Amino acid sequence: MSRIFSISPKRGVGYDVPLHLKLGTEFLVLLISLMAFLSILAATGIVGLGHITKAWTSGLENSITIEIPAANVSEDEVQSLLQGLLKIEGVQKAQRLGQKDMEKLLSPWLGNVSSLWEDLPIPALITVTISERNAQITSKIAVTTRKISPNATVDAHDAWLSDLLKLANGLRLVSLGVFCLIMLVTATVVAGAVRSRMAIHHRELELLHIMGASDSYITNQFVRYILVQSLKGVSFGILIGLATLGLLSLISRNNPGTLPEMTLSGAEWSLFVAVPLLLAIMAVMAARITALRVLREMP
Amino acid sequence: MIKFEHVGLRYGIGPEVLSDITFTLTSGSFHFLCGPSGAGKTSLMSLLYLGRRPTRGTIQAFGQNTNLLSRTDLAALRQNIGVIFQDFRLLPHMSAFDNVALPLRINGMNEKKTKAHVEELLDWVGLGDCMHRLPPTMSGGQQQRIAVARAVIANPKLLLADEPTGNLDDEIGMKLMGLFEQLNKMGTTIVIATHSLQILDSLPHSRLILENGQLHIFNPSTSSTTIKENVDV
Ligand SMILES: Nc1ncnc2c1ncn2[C@@H]1O[C@H](COP(=O)(O)OP(=O)(O)O)[C@@H](O)[C@H]1O
Ligand SMILES: [Mg+2]
Repeated sequence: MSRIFSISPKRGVGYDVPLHLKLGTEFLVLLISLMAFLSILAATGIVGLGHITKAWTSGLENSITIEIPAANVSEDEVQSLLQGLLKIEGVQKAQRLGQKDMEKLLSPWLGNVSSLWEDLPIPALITVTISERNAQITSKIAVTTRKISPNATVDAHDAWLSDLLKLANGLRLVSLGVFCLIMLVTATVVAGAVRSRMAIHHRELELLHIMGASDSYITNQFVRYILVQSLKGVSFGILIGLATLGLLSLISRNNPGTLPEMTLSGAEWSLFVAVPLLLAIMAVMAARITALRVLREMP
Repeated sequence: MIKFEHVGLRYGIGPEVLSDITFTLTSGSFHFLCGPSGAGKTSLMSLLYLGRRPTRGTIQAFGQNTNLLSRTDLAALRQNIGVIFQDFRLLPHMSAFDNVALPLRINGMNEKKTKAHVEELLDWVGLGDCMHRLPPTMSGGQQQRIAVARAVIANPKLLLADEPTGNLDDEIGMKLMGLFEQLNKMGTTIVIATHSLQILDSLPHSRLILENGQLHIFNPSTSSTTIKENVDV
């Protein structure tokens, strides 16, 4: 068995079946590197979307916004509403957005508006921070608000938050599907490559068979060939993948806001090696199963 | 050692190439297999080296009924059989050395021992100087010696040769027969398919004669022809 992996110089590349002489090896390597690259992209999609939804929702998840329309804003009402809200169990903070906050919020649309400020009818906005999102707390907040300030509207962000999460999770599912598809395509292509090489080298295989070579002896030749080609392909794929990731993070660092920041933890970095390796394992398994299946047709 | 009982062989839906063949090869015997071209010599050989399963009948090999053996067990039995093919079937991308080493590697011998064995045998057949050349660059006679070396390297119990002298001149052919005689004296069971009268006449071994799918056995030393059934040769 150890001989399979030690390549003695006298045996050239050491295949009993001249696999290394067949054209199409480069194509196989190219295809596997492409598949490895795509699998990295798909995995990045899965992990990255997770980060993005977390970033989007973490600010909103535990907060509720209450708006009192401009026409009805009275300082007393705002103060008693704040008092009322703070009494509810589960409410950690209730704050009115001050003038500075509002200016910051509006400036992108209205420019520097301090001078206009006095004349504009500005609604009062209250941000309520809750310990956790559950129906009991949100309904208590709604009831209290209606009692004290009937004209106020409570925005729990529920609707669009859940839409956003649905979208993100849908995209993650698509990424997962793409990932599985990549695995499947790779396995199919490798199985086809092994099958055609076995057909081309039928006479050599038959000879080994007559000499008493076991199925595993013959299969190992193909497994080793596919292992070498996949490792080559996967390495290229990882290189291209890392270059792409590097480029993306460079873009997002230089143009904050255009792309969500993608900072990856150590475990996630190792995922980007593990995923293509999984692809290589998949290829080797496909080669092995195919070779064994073809050999079983021999006497 | 090998026992055929009512063995028949057909290819696909064609006629039976071999029908109802019954004979026994005892250990250490030497046989010629003869018959006109197309009589089924190569087909019978392929049954002997367990390269095919018969379409009917049973083949006992080394004391085991091959019909009942798994593919793994059959592979192990084949390691006891050396074959010299009519067209040699050397692997053209491998050096003479690697071609001859193949059976030992398949049997799982370590590389150091393999090297020693192969070099010794190649020296013995007179190819010590060109063991790293590829077969297509060598003459027909040299290729045949590689084929012979490959067939005998693993010290097989049964050696089969399919028309080994077919495309060689008589002198080399007779030398080869001398080699087979020597191996036979050391205990190897030998079956040689041939239609060379020169060889047949010069050696007294019993003949398995194929004709119309039937096997007849002729023993020159007793000069009697017996028809198949239960003949222990
Ligand atoms: N692989 C095969 N498929 C179909 N028919 C075959 C095959 N091999 C041999 N035959 C047929 O079997 C018969 C015997 O052939 P063969 O065993 O090669 O005879 P020999 O070696 O005595 O010349 C011939 O009629 C040949 O056409
Ligand atoms: Mg023939």
